[in-house]
Amino acid sequence: MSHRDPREEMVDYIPSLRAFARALTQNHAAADDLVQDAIVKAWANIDKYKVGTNLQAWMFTILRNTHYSNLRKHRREVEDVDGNHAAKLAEKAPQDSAMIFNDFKTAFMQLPVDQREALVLVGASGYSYEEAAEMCECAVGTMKSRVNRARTKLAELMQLDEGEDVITTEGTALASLGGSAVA
Amino acid sequence: MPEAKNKRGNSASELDRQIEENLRRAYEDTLKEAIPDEMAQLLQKLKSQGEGASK
Repeated sequence: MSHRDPREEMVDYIPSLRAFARALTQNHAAADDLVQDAIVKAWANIDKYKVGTNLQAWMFTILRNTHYSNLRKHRREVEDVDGNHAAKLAEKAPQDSAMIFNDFKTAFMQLPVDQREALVLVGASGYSYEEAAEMCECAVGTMKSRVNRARTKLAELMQLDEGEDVITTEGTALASLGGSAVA
Repeated sequence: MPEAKNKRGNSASELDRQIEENLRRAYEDTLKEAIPDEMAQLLQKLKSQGEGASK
């Protein structure tokens, strides 16, 4: 049995790469740039991909690494702490249960980036804690705790009345990232 | 980090359900979007470059 050339399969993962990138960047244009960067890197490093393993997970990992490496280089690009983007997203929501969905999106964008990626990997993409931990290079327990904290925080934020101020955690997340891994 | 509390204990499972549902919805909405032309073109370009290089 022969596998398809993994490079031919990459196109199939573009939608999920975009979804993951949006959770990391909070900005659609930046997310698409990130996806393109990840595609170029994946293509160039295709010899490092083990045929038969999960290509999506491999590409997610590349995308994620690219994102954090870009962050360290251009920290300014990710700043969207005023929630404009979350508000923009919210406008586009369809009608049914739109309020809850809007609340959710706004709350999601207030989570620290490590919790957002944990939720997308485990909660939305269906990766196991083990797989997600491997992709994020953290312990399984850390991944579980990120998912739990994210869910707790979302529940908390979604219970707040509209307009109630919430301290955004994004700045802290970025600061700690930059602080821990400055090249 | 302060411990998050459930202010309304009896709605916790309902909230969990909503979170799960909305998380998937947000993700799946993105999956339904058409692939941008520039990404399709990028793949095409990479492919043709590779063919050029291997010949």
